[in-house]
Amino acid sequence: MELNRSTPKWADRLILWLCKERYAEEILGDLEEYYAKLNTRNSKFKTLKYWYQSFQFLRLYALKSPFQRSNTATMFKMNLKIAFRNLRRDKFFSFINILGLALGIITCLFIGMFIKDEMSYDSHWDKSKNIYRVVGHLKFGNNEFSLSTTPAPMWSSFKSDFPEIAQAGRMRNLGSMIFELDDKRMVKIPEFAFADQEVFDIFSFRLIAGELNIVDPNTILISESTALKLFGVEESLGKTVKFYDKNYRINGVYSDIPDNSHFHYDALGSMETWQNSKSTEWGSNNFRTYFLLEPGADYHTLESKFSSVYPKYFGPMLSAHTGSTWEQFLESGSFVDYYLQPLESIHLHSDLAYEIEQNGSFQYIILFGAAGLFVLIIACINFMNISTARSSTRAKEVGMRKVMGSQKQYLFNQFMMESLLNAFLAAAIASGFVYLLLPFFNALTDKSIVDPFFGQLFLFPWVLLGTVIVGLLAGIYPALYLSSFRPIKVLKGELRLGVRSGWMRNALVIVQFSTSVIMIFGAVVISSQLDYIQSKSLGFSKDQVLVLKNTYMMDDRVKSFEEEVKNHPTVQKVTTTSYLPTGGNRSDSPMLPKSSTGAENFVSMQIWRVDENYIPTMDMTLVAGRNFDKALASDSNSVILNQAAVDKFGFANPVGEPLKTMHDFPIAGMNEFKVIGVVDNFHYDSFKENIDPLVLLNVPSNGYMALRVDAGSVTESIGYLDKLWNEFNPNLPFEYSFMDQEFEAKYRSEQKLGTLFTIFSSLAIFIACLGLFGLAAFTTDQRKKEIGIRKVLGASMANLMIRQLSGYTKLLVVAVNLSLPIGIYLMSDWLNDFAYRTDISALMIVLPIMSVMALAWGTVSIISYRAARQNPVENLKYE
Amino acid sequence: MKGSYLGEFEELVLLLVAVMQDDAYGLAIQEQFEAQTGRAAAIGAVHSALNRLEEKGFVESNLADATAERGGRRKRIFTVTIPGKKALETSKELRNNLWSQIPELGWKGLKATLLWN
Repeated sequence: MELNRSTPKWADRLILWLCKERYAEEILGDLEEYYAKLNTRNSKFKTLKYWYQSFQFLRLYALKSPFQRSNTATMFKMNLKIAFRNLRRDKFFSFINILGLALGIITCLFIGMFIKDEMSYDSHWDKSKNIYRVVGHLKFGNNEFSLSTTPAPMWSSFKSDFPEIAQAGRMRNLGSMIFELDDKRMVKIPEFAFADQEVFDIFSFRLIAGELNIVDPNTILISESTALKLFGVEESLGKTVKFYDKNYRINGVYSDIPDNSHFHYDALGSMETWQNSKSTEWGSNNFRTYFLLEPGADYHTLESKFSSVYPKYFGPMLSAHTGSTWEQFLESGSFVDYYLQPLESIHLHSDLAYEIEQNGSFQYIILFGAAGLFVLIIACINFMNISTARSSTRAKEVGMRKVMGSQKQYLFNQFMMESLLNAFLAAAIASGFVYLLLPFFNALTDKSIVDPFFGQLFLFPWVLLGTVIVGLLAGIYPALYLSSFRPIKVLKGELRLGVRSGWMRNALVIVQFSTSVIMIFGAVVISSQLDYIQSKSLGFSKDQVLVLKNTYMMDDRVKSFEEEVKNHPTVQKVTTTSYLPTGGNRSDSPMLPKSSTGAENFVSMQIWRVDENYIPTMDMTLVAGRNFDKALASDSNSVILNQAAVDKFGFANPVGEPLKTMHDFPIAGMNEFKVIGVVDNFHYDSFKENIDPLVLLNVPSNGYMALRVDAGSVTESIGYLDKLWNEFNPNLPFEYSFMDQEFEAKYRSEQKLGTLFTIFSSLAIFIACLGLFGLAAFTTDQRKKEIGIRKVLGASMANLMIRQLSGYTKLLVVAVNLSLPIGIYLMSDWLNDFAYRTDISALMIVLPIMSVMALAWGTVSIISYRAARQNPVENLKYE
Repeated sequence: MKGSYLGEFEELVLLLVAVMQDDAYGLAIQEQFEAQTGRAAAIGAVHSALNRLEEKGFVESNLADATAERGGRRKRIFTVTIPGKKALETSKELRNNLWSQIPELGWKGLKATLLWN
């Protein structure tokens, strides 16, 4: 068919070349008419659109059958057929190859899912690339803070100071909240925050019903799942909920915030309602500030301008609180520094004080990525080793083909095809298993991935690409090696086959076992550190302690509730407080000796409000002085320090020392205190941090009730408490937890890391042994005659087996020596993150070596035992 | 032979063939489709659907006269067949039937699960 001159020539040719002739006329006709109708001057754009439409015609129904055409296609079919035949002929080795590769690919897929999900955090907001969070790095005297929160007035002040900031908004999160409904129902909202209206210009919340409007005070927006808990989506609009003694009208419902976000608020109240929102105090950091920058604005440039406005805002604050000027403040080595975090980097790169939720860790992403890669490489090496070792069985085939006129290129293609076929079969099996194992993965990682391949993560193209890369990687060396045989030599039988590539195979085995040793060593160190955390003396006793939640809802009645609880025989001790070593409130404020005036004597302290039963209930140890005494009226101004605080103040005789706070804290009219006792240090923060100074105040707080109960009567106590709770609070859910479980929850991410590393290292060693098994089976088979002759000449079983094992043992010794220094270096680095850590002991080093050795010996022994057992007649009767 | 199942896209194309009568050929149907539904569709996608419909026996086609704007190439004009009409009616009845079965209460407490990209 003739081609038109105006339309893009090559597109038309493509259609004519690929599409069935009976469609070509109308297709080209339609396309040309389309081209003529396109009313744009831009000819490039026109051509592009034409090409797009042309490509859209290349569908299965319209295409000519592909396998009739070219030589390449014929060869492809031929190679595929041969690959399948080879696969079937050696079922044992095919099984080892595919199983190893499939395990490697499964591991990689799961790790890939994990990494891709972690990397996708907060990228779903429309303007995510231009959104930044303001965080602070401050130093007052000896106290340094890294905060994820900012002062209340910063958002509006900075927005008017810097034109790069297109929009600014704050959120003030208050954790969980209990909503009271009109029908007396009480519903717990896990994450609540107050937000500025401007937040909705920054974050693209998806509206479902009503409007995204919380300009007026006492209005609120709720998430879809909250709405369903309360009244229903449409039905919630206009209804009111009550908390903090105020009524809030529901103005809108937004779609649940996706899992991969750094916050998941279930309800957002109008900032206008929050009394501190209008505060002009620059000294306290309680609000999370987000900036939307103008497109093209560079955030580093903006950050560098921040310092120019610090004196304006922080100067007056300093003189009001400490009496010193901004210049004096800087001269004493103190500083204020706020900077910006790109939104998408928060989840993996931010680890500051008071994060909204536990963030991920980039270090773990790298650790997992490396582990996945290792396992895959080990699996690829199996394929390489077994293929080259088995070259003798293929040598005659290669020789024949070459004699018949096959070129090296064709043979190379043929072997690559075999490798690719293996890789694709393995990937298919692996994908099936990934779907099967997905629930376990989700449980282990706290994610909810439904369809990793075609869903939100869309791993499918990566899997295809990865499989091709694995196929090429595993196949390239064997293909090059096998296709380079000289036909005359192999056909004469001169080539000592499988021997030439021996050094390469040995090197690859060493790589496999080195990586396995490193991974096992890693798993051992991680689990020892976890054991250390579990068994270290904490300074308090977490066992047999029940924690009741929501007790603050009872207000003053909490005392009478406590009295009732105390009377029950199984309850040994009770304390009511908002501050627990395993969680709950934290409040940080400076204290200083009463006599000092300057900021240099500041000690940043955790200030906890507890009652006189706190220390006995928690089973903490007093190292000096006494506990609070209810009978002494003067004890209302008494405090108990922890040992860290005593050290920081430098008190030789802490008991009796007077202390003060800068402003009235924690209650108005209270700013002078006297130390009456010292409690031994107890762990209330992560093991990654040193124990910081802390002071216990004899002031009531009522967030939780902690009870120490008799061992063995826990169920009974809970039953009793449940009943009592319902008498006191008929509408409030009864919630409790065990302190030891809460403690363990704090180390969930480390525990997960431990579990995952154990799984990965087991897989690695399993795949490596699988490869070794195949390799040993093959080489032993090659040496059948040698073994037979040795046996005839009088070699004993032990003799034969030791001969076989010693070759592999040499490789293992090299692998161990190579891998241990690397492993020790990597794991000391990980351990250094912990302020309290276990040491790497000899046992931790010996254990992985012994287990790898034992497994490898076991694997090879099975093969060599079988070979050595055989009657030499069987091996020697041919020839 | 393939089943007589009618996909959503196919159904729309079949309806358009019925609407457009003598003008129903590939490009014209694609233009009408975009105009009436507001959805984008490649000419190739429409063409593919038309061929599937023809295989199922819901439309038949004839080559019409050549025109100049098509570089002297002929159009293929599609017309609905009796099975085609029947398939459309069945599909419509099925929908009506299902609509009439939804209870009034079925619309209460609906969720809106919006997708985030």
